[in-house]
Amino acid sequence: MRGDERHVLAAIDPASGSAAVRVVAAVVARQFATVVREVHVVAGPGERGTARQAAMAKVERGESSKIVGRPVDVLAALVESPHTLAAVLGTGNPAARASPRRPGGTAFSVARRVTRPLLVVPAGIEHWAGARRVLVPLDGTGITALAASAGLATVGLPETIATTVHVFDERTVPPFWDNPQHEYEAWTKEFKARYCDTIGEGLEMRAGPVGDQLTAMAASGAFDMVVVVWAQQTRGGRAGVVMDLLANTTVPILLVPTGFVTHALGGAPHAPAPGTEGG
Amino acid sequence: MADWDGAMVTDRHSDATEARRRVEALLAAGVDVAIVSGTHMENIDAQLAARPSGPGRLYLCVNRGSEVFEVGRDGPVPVFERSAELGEDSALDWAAAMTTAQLERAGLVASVVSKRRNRRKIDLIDEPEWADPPKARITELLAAVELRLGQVGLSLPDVVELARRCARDAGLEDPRITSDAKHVEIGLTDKADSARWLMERFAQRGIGPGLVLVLGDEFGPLGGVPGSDSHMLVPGTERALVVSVGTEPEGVPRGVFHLGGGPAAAMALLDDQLVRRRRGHCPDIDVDPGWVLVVPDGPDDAHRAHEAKLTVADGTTGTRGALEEERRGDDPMVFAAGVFERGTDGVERLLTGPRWAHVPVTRKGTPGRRLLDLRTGVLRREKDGDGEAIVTTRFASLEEPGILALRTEGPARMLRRSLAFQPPRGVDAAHYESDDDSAVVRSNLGGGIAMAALQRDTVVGDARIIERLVAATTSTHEPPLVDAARRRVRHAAARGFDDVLRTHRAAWASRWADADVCIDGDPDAQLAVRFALFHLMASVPVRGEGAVGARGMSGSAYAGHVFWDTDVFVLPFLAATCPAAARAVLEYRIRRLPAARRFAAENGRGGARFPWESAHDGTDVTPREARRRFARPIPIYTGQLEEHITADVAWAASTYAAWSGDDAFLSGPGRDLVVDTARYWADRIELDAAGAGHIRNVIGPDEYHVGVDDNAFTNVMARWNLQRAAELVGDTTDDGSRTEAERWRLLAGALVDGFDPSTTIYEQFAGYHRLEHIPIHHQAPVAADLLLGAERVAASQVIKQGDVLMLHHLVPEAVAAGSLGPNLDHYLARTAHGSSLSPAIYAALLARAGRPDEALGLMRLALSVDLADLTGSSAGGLHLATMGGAWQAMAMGFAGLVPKGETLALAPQLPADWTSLGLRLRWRGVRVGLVAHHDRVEVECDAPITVAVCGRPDRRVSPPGTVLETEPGPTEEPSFAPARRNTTRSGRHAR
Repeated sequence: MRGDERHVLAAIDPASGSAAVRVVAAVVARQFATVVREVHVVAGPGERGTARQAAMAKVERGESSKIVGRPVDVLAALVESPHTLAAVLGTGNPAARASPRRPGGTAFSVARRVTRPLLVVPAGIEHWAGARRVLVPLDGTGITALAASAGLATVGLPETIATTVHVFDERTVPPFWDNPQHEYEAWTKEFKARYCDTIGEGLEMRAGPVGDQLTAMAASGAFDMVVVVWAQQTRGGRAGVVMDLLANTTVPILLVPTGFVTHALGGAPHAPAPGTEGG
Repeated sequence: MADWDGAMVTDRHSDATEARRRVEALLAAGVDVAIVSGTHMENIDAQLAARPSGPGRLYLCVNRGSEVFEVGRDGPVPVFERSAELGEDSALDWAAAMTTAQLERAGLVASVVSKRRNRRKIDLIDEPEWADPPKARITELLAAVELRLGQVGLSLPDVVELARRCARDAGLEDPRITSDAKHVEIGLTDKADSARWLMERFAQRGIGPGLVLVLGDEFGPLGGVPGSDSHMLVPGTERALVVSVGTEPEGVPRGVFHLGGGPAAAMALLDDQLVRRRRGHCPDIDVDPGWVLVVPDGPDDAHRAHEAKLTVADGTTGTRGALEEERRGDDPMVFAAGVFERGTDGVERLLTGPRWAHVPVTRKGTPGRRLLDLRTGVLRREKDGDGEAIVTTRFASLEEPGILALRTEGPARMLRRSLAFQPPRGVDAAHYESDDDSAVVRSNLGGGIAMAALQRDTVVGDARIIERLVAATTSTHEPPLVDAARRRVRHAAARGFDDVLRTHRAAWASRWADADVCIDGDPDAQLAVRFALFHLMASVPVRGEGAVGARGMSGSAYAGHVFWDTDVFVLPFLAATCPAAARAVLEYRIRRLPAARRFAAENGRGGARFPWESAHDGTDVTPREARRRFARPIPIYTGQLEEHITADVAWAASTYAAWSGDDAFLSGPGRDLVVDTARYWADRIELDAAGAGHIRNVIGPDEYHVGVDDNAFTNVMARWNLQRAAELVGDTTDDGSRTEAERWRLLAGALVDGFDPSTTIYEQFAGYHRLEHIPIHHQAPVAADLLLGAERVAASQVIKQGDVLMLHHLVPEAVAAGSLGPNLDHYLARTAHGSSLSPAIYAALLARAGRPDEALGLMRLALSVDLADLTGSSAGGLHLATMGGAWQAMAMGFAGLVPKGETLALAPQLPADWTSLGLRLRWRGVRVGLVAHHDRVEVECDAPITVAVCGRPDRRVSPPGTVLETEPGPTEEPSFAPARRNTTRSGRHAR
């Protein structure tokens, strides 16, 4: 497939405002010297089978930007398309809706279904410099570090400065912390050597509810994007963190499925089993 | 360990030249050889006639287990003899007579043909044809005997059983009945006694059972009776290589390799051993699961933690166990104890030395494993290099600290020759010099590490063997001497790798003989505690000064700084097992007394104040803040306020004297450690209007609470320090000293300690009880300051580690009688164990308080800190204080040991899962072995000692020892000091 056949997919919803999605999608498209293909999925029974395939193909060729169907199904299919270089969705603008709906709900559902990273953009972003300063939360597992590194590579810039962060909570706090002045140095040296090698030099540490800590860091103005690796579950694990971030973030969130590390290493991608629960 | 007749020689009359030649060659190569035979020494020596000329030892175990001779250049010298006790000789006669009489009644004529030491031999087939049958006719002989016995309705086993009954009827409790088909022999000993003696002797030289070849020709049954050589298979020989060269008509027992071929095959086996040694093959280790830590190699995030665990050290140098080829991300550091440099950030850190263990081993093939033999201090690496084995042996000589050795063998195409030294990573080129055979790293503080190497690279066929001997000279304050290193390595090379290894193994065996802990019933804890003791012993020298950092020489974490960890957690183990090492630890403090006096003066006090963190010269090197990126630095106050270390050093000096019996120390070089520290406290104490003494604005062992007043631990330890110093100087005729001592006693008596007689609880510091109580319901440790935040924790009663309870552990005689239990319950529910030092101490106290099963959980936690890398930072080095604490939990907790003047008191409390707990110790110069069971304790000693078991009166025990009953005794030693009145405290709460 030639590079010019691949595009940046931008999911538009005129009802909830999509300016931020367009801003970010345009930056990403410039970064990869490609175009943006906008899609507006109108909820409805829509077409099925080959008819829907044809409708999607029209969107990908830029001949149309509207498809009728179930938004989550259609968007997930388009994200997974080999023509999609990167996919950008919005969290929606609750103020623009008649009835409040959980921000990022659609994006969350789509992200659960796909095997590739998904860039989710909060409303209100008018300018975006690209993923120059990126926050990468790490939980102290190799698979998260690998997936984060692989995910960052999909939208990262050569000059990207990545700052990793580890948040201590009840599950992850070390049992012992002997002398803060030395333990910090020893612990971070080892953590960085294990997990930050391919991501970045700077390691931050925080303590407390993970979602709160990441939201606060994201809102600090020090970062352009947050990369979150997750297992695509609806409950447990990082599901709550993802929901918190989508609801409260002020910068784009790159959601990277844990399984993306397999994909990045050349293995077959796999989506989570539908209806799987747990951590 | 070899049988003689039939295994090493055809028979007792054949020419033994071939056997002699090989035995002498093995002895010259450093191999110990033992001949085990039923006959007497003169027969063996006349035939073998071997005389050792090398380091190997030759033993003749003769008279079927009753005698052992060691053969020197001038001939055999007796080293062991089992003498028949009163009545045993006559019992043997009676047993033999009864046996022959009963055989005669059954119709078989048999006669007693030999009355040797401790045995009587009965001939079952006294016929000319079978007068002296050769081993080669054993099958025919057996058939003839069975025929003869069968004629009277007997079998060989029947005769053996008859002899056993007669022996027991004669009053012999443990008769040894053996048979070679022609004879049945009734004895007091058999080859099992020889084997046990030999295995113990080998163990004393660091030779484990897995390194023993057992050679015989009669392991299998003969006519239904166990073969005579089978008696050599005593417990402990399961890992030995056991080979039979006999015909073994009825097969061999499981575990015995039946080679056959007679003495010729035995000679071929010995030739193979000689060829392997001459070629310089990597020596084996005894893979005993109770002694060997096995670490699989391969992709593993925790590989740096493994490097720390696999560190080999000799008290002066430490080399992390990185793979020889040093993969990306490895941390192959080498350290020298006490040699620091100052970094560009101003921090003093351990200097890293030249990398001497680098060998370019191929990465092809499959990853193998590394094995650390804790018994002998040898690190072995086994790898598959594309279908062929690559093996490395590495060690740091305990017998000659500073001599480092490595031998690698494998396919020549997979091992490349390399320079002996690589520079330490990150070294400033201006401070590093090297050439083909030497390397020097200089410290900007004046000292350094110099190394010289001699390397041998041998290619035989397609196999390559690289052997590298290295000598390190280190210096803390002066430039290190390369020439001295060159001389040392030449001397080591002249001895040879194998000899250096031999003496290194023997040195470790000697250390373990005074330090081992044996837990029967808990194999995981057994290996874990040996892992801890190994690294403790390897981290401390036995001469000079021992600058023992928090992580020893296994990593760069904590910068090599010396904390109270060394004085309070590491020293007690050393004092009780290797006083010379404890003395070295104290020598570090003694040499830094001038700096301690200056530190006290800078703080407006007299005497000596030891810094919280110490490195090169004894000045305070405690960081003032913990720096973090994108967040405010956290101020660190321990350097300014954690003063109890001053009393801890005095305690360490006193503990050393108590265990070692070195009473001259405290009146000599150690005196000032106690006296000058007391002077500091005398100046530090503030007397209020009511005359009560206070020590304000400190940090106790619980570092969650900063700047508190009247911390119980600090105050009681200061009190102890003053009283101890007063004892030391009180008897002097010098008026000034007596006056000073009297003042110390008054101040000690005035100090408040937070004790409430109505509750028997010590308040940890003034105002502690008014803080928020956040109950902790489980024993799982948690770094509460990280989770809840330092401010929240400081405003609560949550504590990091035992603080009040450290008093019950260190100075039980100085706390109120009966207060252990209530304070344990009170503070256990408030302890987060955020310090890795905490679990082991609580384990010790719980065991002492009669709660050993509860103690066991915390004990296991302590033992797994590094083995399971619980902190995530073991890659930076092993937690020596936790290891020392684990030993204290064993010794002071489960065994309940307390030194009381000349008496060693013990009060064992074993967990239900354990069958027994054994400890080897040095008590005031005497070698002591204790084995505590649930109902008794076995005490062994090599000189008389006084013990007191479970609160009973003192009992004098003479060698070899005795067994003393234990019954549930008092769960706490009675206090020798009256409870202290607690006057009203007024002071700050924690900051």
